[in-house]
Amino acid sequence: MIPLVLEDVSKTRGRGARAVQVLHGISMAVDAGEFVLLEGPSGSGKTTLLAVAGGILTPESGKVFLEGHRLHGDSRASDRGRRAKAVGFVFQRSNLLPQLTILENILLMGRIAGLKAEDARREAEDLLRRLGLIQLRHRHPLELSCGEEQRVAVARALVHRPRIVLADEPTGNLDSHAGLSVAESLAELARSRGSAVVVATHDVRIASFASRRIKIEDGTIATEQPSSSRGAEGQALK
Amino acid sequence: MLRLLAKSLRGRRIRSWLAVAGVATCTLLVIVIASAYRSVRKAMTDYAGQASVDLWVAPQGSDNMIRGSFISFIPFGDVDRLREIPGVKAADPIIQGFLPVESLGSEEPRKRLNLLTVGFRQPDGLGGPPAYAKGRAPRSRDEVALDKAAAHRLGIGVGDAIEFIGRRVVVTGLTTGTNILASQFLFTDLDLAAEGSNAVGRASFVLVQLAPGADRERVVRAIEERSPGVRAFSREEFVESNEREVASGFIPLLALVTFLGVGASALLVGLLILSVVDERRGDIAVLMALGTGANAVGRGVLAQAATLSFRGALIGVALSYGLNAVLEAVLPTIPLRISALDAVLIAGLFIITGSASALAPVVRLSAIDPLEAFRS
Repeated sequence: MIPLVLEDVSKTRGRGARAVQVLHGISMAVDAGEFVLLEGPSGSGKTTLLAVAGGILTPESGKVFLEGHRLHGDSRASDRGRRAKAVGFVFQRSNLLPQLTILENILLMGRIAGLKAEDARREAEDLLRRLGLIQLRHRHPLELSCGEEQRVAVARALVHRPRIVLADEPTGNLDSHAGLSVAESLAELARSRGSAVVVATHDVRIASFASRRIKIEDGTIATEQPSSSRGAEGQALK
Repeated sequence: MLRLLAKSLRGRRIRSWLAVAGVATCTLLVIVIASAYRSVRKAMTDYAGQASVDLWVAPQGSDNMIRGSFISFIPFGDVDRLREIPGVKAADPIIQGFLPVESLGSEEPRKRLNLLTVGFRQPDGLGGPPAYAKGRAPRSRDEVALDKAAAHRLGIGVGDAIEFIGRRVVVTGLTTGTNILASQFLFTDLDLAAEGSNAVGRASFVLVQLAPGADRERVVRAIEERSPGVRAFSREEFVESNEREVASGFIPLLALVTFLGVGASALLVGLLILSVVDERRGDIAVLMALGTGANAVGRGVLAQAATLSFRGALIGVALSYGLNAVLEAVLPTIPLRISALDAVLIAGLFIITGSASALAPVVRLSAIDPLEAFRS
């Protein structure tokens, strides 16, 4: 089952005189295990595309299929449940909840996605171990560096083994070293869990992990090409 | 998940504890008023409900000790007629009135109180003190027993002398269950109290003890037939009437304080939850973006309100018991009789209203757009 399919999706933001059509008939599909890069200038519609793909925004026209199920067709509650199970989100800021420890932040996502408490804990601890953050599991987000926070956010996005991870500028607030570390963590963990990844970014370093690059301009797909340097470029950057 | 959700939306620590303190204070306030009411009611019913008294005979128009019977009296001649009624084992008059007492210690100025004075046939006539904390019953015109809180206010104890109706009398006993908050009981010789009240030869009430096997209804009818100016009440009726009288004074105050306390407490919790919803808007948007429904977030917010209210109410209950112990030791003039059932009901009321106060802020959750999670 193809994790994500968009068919002729259009979306307008704002109302009345301030309404702006952000997406114009976008069609794309993301296969299992793919690492897709969404590139484009600010305001080109990358974030809106992620929000529509993740079921957060409803398109005016077009269809969005998540694991073969059409979003925005049934009730919002069933969309939400499907999205919680099948999608992981990584935002520009870590957006970890400051009142929870990092372990609890990850556990909460697992629970939202419907994992049993013990399964969520096992998955969360496994991810933290692989990220080298297990010893920090009882700390709160404010006690971590920005890079560590964002790596925890990656773990949160993957705890429930989603079919697809949607990441919006995940390295945008990080220095080059931390940014690379986050990109590596996202690529490696997603690959090991069989999750496809769609990343909207300006960060050229992430391009090295991509299997496909899609350039968005003015709400349309301007170019789309497979990334030839995947893996080798990533290794070189390491 | 609810626990994690509630924890993730917890308000700032200081604000939360201020809200808890507010709920605790309001809970304490209501429990104190309710307990004072219980205490006064208990004092009146303990005295009026003495097991040795089967019937209370009162002048027409008077059916309790609080209101009436200060200007309306039963002539002593009626008492003798009551004693002759078949089925009456004993009939003793009492006279009641507010009379002044003054301490005779070296302290200046002397302490002066008006006490609810009950004159009874000493030492073992009906209508004497229901219970003693210390000492014994007065046996002569020169002896009195008074409530232990009144003794505390006067700074006296058993064996000390006080001035009562212009004469020096000795305190032989300290009584309990005789503090009605606004005043306390003093027990003295019937004739002395009658002199002090300008009611010589008259009684406020006549207390009747029935002979074993006597038909109470028949005795009541006989009393009311022989003395048309009086009315006889069974002990239970008289107790109920006293309770009603106490309630009529206390319940409006209790209701008002409860209303204000619950309102203030609900406002505090509601404001805290409102600040959480407003200030944690970004976190709530993240939760929604991750797939949490507004209903689930609402439950998390409500759980927080319930937790705060529960903590506040629990602390309020604990404080009320602590305050009771302190007052008992330091300031016995304020009687608190905390009923566990009252405490549970009041705490429950605060928990429910505090939790419900979060409903209005929860409605605002629907205005939060999960897309806000994407904005840096």
